[in-house]
Amino acid sequence: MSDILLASPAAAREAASRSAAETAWRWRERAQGVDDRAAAAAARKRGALGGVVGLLAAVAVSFWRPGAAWIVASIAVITTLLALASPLGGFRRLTHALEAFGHGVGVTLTWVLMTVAYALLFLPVGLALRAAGKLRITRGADARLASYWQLPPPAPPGLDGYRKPF
Amino acid sequence: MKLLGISCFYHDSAACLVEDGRVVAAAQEERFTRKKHDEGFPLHAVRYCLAEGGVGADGLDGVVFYDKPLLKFHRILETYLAVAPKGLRSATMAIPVWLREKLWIPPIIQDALAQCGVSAKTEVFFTQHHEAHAASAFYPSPFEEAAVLTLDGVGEWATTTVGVGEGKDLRILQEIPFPHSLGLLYSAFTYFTGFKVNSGEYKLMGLAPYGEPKYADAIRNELVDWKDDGSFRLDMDYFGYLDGLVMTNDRFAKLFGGPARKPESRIGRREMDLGASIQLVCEEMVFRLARHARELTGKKNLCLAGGVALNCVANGKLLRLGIFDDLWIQPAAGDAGGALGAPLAVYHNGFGKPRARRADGRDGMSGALLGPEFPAAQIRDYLDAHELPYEELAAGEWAPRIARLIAEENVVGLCQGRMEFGPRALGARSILGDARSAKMQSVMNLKIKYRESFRPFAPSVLEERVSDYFELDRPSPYMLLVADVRKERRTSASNERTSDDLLEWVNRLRSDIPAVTHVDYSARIQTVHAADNPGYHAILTELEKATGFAVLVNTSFNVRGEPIVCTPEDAYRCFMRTEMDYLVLGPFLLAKVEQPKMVEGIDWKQEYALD
Repeated sequence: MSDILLASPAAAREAASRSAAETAWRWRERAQGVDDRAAAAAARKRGALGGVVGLLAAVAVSFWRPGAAWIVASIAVITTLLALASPLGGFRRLTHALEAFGHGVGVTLTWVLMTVAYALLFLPVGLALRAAGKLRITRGADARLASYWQLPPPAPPGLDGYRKPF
Repeated sequence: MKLLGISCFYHDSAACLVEDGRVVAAAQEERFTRKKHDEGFPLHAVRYCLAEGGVGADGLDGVVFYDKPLLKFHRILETYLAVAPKGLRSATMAIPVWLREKLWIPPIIQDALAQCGVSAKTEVFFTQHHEAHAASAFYPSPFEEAAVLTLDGVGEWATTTVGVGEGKDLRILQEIPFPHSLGLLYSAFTYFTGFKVNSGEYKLMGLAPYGEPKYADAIRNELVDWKDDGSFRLDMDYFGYLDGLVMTNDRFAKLFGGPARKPESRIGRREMDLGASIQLVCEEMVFRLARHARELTGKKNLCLAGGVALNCVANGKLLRLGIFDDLWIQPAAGDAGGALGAPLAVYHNGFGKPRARRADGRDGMSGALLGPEFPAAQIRDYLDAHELPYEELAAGEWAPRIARLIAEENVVGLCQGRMEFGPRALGARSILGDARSAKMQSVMNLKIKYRESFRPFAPSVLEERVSDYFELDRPSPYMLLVADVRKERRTSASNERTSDDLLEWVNRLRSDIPAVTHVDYSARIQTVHAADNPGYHAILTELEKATGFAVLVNTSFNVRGEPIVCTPEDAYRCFMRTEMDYLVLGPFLLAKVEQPKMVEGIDWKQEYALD
C-alpha cells in the first residue's frame, strides 16, 4: 500500500487495479492447493480444540458419573485423532453429520417456538389491531380514495436520517 | 471522500465504491462465488472494490447499506399480524433469520471490513431501499434535473415511488406501499408460468411476443384497481405472497384456467398468452405512472430504476410515447444497483456535496464497466502454467482477426477489459456471433447456452449506425431499450404463425439480421461507443469493414443458470464446456480445436440451479 501512496495518481490507480485483479483471481493459490491446506489446518485445529473441551467435560462428568466420563473422553479422543488423521475426509463427514443433526434440532425447536408465539402473540395482537384498523396493510381497492399515492415520511436533513436503521 | 455501498440478503448482493461522487468500482457477489443471484454478504465484492480503490486501513469515510433493516422488519411483522393465523410457515422461515442476522447489519459490516484490513470504526449509514434505487438512477444520469420513477417488488414499505432530482438534491415525493406492487404482480405471472421469481421475469418478457393478450382484461378487471393518476392496488385475494411461500393462490389459478405450469415442463399457448397479457398490462401501468411523474414534477427527462425498469420492451415503448423527452435507466436497475445508489444518496443528499459530471455530457456509469480487469501478464501466466495453446494478437491485428472469425460464422467468447456491473453483458464478458447468420440463434441457444429455443438474442451495434438498422434515434448503451428492426431490412415473407411448431416460427427468416430479430421484428439493442468500450467498438468497426454490417449478436458469457464469467479461468471453463469455437482472453486468442480435452470429475450441468 505504501507504494500506492508514494506513486503518482495514475500509477497509484494502475497499481490498485493490478492488486484488485489479484484479489479477484487467485488461481495460483487454488492450483497449488493453498485453499485445501488452509482448510485442513483449520480442521485439525478445530478437532484438537474440540478434543481438549471434550476431555475437560469428561473430567467434570467423572465427579458424579465415572462410567459416562470414560465414554465422553473416548469420543473426544477419537474425534481428535480423526481430525488429525483425516481433516478433509472422515472429520469433514463427521462435522457435516453433526451440523445436519444440529440443524434438524434447531429447525424443530424453531417450529415449536414459532407455533407457540404465533398462537399466543401474533394471532391475538393481529386480531386486535385489525379490529381497531391500526394496520397499514390493505388488501384491495378502496372506492372512497381518489388516489393510492401516499406521502413518504419526512426525511431529517443532513446525515441524521442516514445514521438510523429505521 | 470514499464511501462503500452494500446491498445484500435478498438477491443479487453487490458492493460499490464511490469516490467524491464518482463510481470507482462495482461488482455483484455472484460473479466471484459463482452462485447465481447470490444473496449472501458480498465479502468478495467488498474486497475487490476496496482493492480497486486503493483503500487503506483508514481510507474509508463510511459504509452505506441500501435499506433500513428495522423498517423492513416492521413491515414483515405487520404482514404476519395482518394475516395470522395464516402465514405460520412463512413466519417460521423468515423471523429467525431476521433475529439472527438481518437486524444486525453494523456488526456484520464491521466484521467484514476488519477481514479486509479496513478500520472497523468506519461509520455505517442506511438509506431507504427506494431512495437507493432513485439515487442510482438520477445521480449517474446525464440530466441536471429529472423526474425519477422507481418500480420494484418491495423495499421497506414502498414498492413504487415518484421523485424529483435537481442538481445534487433528490426527493421522493410519493410512494405506493406494500403489498401493492407492479414488480410482485409481474413476478406472480413469472411464477405462474413456471419460471423462477426474481430471475425468470426476462424470460416471460421474451415469451410475450409469441402470445396474444387474451387475459389482459381479466388482469385489469380482477387483479388491479387503478386510479386516474396511475396509482394502483392489487386484489390480494388472488395472491399468495402475503401469507404463503408462493406468489399466487387457487383463486388466481381458477381465473387463468388451471394450475401453474410446472418448471421445465412444456410451454403451452396459455403461458404465451399470459406472458403477452401481463406484459401489456405492465406497459399500461408504467405509462400511467410515467404520465403522473411528468405532471407532478414538470420535468422533461425521466430516470428509471428498480427491477421493473429492466423491462426493456416497456422502456422502448415509453420512450416512443414521448411523455418525456428522454429516458435514462440505471443499468443495474435491480437490487444490485442499490449498492451504487446508496453511497451516492449519502454523498449528495447527506453530505451535501455537488454532483461530479463528465465534461463530455455522457453518463457517470463508464459504460457499466466497473468490475475487475485482468492484465495480460496475469492471463499469460495462467495459460502457460496450464500449457494451454494460444496465440497473442498484436494490437493492430486484434479487432480485425476477431471480426473475421465472427464473419465466418464462428461463435467467439470475449473476455476483455473491466467486467460489467448489472445483469447484461456489454462486450466485456460476452459471447459473440454473426447477426446475419440464419442458424446463429438456434446454434447459440442449443449448443452454447443450453436453454429454451424461444429466447431471442440481442444485437450490439455501433452507436453511430443504430438508426441504419433499428427504429431508434438515440443511444441505448445498456441494452435497456427495445426497438423494431427497420422496415426496409425486413424480409417480405409472411410472419403469420401457421402451426403450433414454435421452432419453425422462431427460426423463420425475418430480416437481413435474423439472429437478432425477434418474432415481432423487435430487438433489444446495445449501442457501442468508443469512449465506453474501445476494444468492442473496434471489433464492430472491423466487422462493418469486412461484411458491411455494424451489428453482431451479443449474449452473456455463461451457460444457463451460471453467473456471467468474471475471471479468464471462468471464461476458459465455460468455453470448454460449450461448443464455442474461439475464446479471446485479453490479447490472447484460443481456438477450441487446439485445446486439450478438459476432464471434469463432476457433471457440470448439475453445478448450476436452473433459473
